[in-house]
Amino acid sequence: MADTYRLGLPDLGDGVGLRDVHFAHLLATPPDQWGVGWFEIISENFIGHHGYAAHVLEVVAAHRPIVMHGVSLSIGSTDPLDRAYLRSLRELAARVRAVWVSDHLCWTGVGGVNTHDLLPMPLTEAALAHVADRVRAVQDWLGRPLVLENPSSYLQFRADQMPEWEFLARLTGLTGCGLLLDVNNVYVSAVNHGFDAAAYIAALPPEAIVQMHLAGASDCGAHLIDTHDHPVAEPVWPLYAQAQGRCAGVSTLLEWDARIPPYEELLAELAKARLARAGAMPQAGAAPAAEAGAIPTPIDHQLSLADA
Amino acid sequence: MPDSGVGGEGGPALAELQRWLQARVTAGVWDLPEDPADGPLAAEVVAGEVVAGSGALSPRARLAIYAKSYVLRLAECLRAEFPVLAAMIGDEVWGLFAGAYLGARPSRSTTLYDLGAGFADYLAATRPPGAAGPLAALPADLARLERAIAECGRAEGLEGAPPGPPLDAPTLILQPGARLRTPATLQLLELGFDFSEALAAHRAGDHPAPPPPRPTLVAVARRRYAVRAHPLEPWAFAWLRAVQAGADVQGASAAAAQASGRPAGEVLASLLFWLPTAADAGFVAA
Repeated sequence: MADTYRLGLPDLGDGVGLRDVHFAHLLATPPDQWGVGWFEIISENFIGHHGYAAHVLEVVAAHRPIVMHGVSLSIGSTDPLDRAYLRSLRELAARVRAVWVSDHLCWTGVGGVNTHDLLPMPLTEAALAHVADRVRAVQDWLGRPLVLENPSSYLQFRADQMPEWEFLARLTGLTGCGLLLDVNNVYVSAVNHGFDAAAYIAALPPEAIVQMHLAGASDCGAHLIDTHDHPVAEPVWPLYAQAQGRCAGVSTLLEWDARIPPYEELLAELAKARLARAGAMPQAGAAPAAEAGAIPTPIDHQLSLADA
Repeated sequence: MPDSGVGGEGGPALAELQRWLQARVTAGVWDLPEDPADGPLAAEVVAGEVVAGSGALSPRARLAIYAKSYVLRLAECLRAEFPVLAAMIGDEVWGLFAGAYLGARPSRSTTLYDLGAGFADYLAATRPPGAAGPLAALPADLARLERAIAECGRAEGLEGAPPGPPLDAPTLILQPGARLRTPATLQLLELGFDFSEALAAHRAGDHPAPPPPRPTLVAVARRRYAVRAHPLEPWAFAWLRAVQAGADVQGASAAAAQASGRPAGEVLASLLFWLPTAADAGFVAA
């Protein structure tokens, strides 16, 4: 199973994102009491960083596997690939011994601009060929498979020729890349676009799924946004159980990037994933109403300015 | 616009569509200008011809989600780097500053750390000609200090270096050609205000009040991963600046004497007592 599933990559168990607000707790707590199997870092937070955040990462990486999750690869952009950025990714991956490197099926800007948002791809044959070419180039550059996440999205294009799950499935076949299945994003996009979230998950190739994300969303009335600032919403848990059942065990990461709770509360939320995998749906509520100023891809997702 | 695939026969190229969407998203205030300068699509199509609507959301409303979050996200990132300035001038003025800057200088970097790199210069360059009051230079000055603090926090410091013996100040001062180095974390600033109390107030969770104008020399430095801003006497500032430029200890002392107008012997005597403090603060290392 391990050789044919997850691109041969390991099931690291349950993990959380390494975030500023937990640095002091982690440094003050023996690693055997961290309560997670692994940590995910936002790659851009640590590229070129030689301060406190880098120090904490070094300590954490000595005791737990690290996975790198980026937000600026812009794999779908029509701008040329940023070789300097790719070089930095490769160097960071070597430094932290990253188990894998992921980013999103999206583009972040063109004409040299970076919107720092995960903008949606048109789901067309031409776009698929374009992304596949770039995934191959990135994989050659990194010397490892790229793992791509389905982003939450708020619009679709009239030009779309296939659903997102088909785009992703075909992309894995064309390139050998892996998938980071963000179950919350499937739920958010399903609500926003009116598709069947369970059918989306059922249509993905399970052998390509390397990792899953869980996160909380917010309800804006007519749509949901992916705010990472609440517990996981109730409808996400059965989808997660469905996805895990198809994959027979895949690393799970709880994302919480705004209004981040104390570490123990984070672990309590993460523990629900174990319950869901065992078939007992955790107690959870609906996605709460969005707070004023709530945004997708919030700031704590990307910025690390903490000092000691 | 036809419903064919992007890049396919009759359809807009992917590059064209991305330029169009980016122009809509980064417009700042939601509007759909039909500006030919935004590309061929902009003049010809409206949102509904490119973006599919469904459910309760129109194509324009869907575009607006991205446009709104673009502005909010980057403004919050800028605020995170300049928290004291934002708190001092209040949300309304801060919003004007941040919006104008982000509109004029959209991010061109893969990292948000670069977002605030030009903020201080932008504030200085766009100061209204009539704004000649004593506090007119304050925003740019404080932005310069907060940017230095952010850069200091990320730069390569002394923490990873193997611990050496304490600096032997008498030998360093008396030995011709003796050198010290300044780490990349050290930032030297000439400011028109002393922001010490404002920084301390903000760190304590209090409202930072604008200080009165007062020429202030500051070293921003890092020690054990903690970043601090240290007001300096003119001779010490000149000495550090000379060392940073590559001068040896005695050469820097001569430069400090000249810059501060103090006798060379007096500077050397001050240096003798100050060097251990400077090393402990992360200004210099052997």
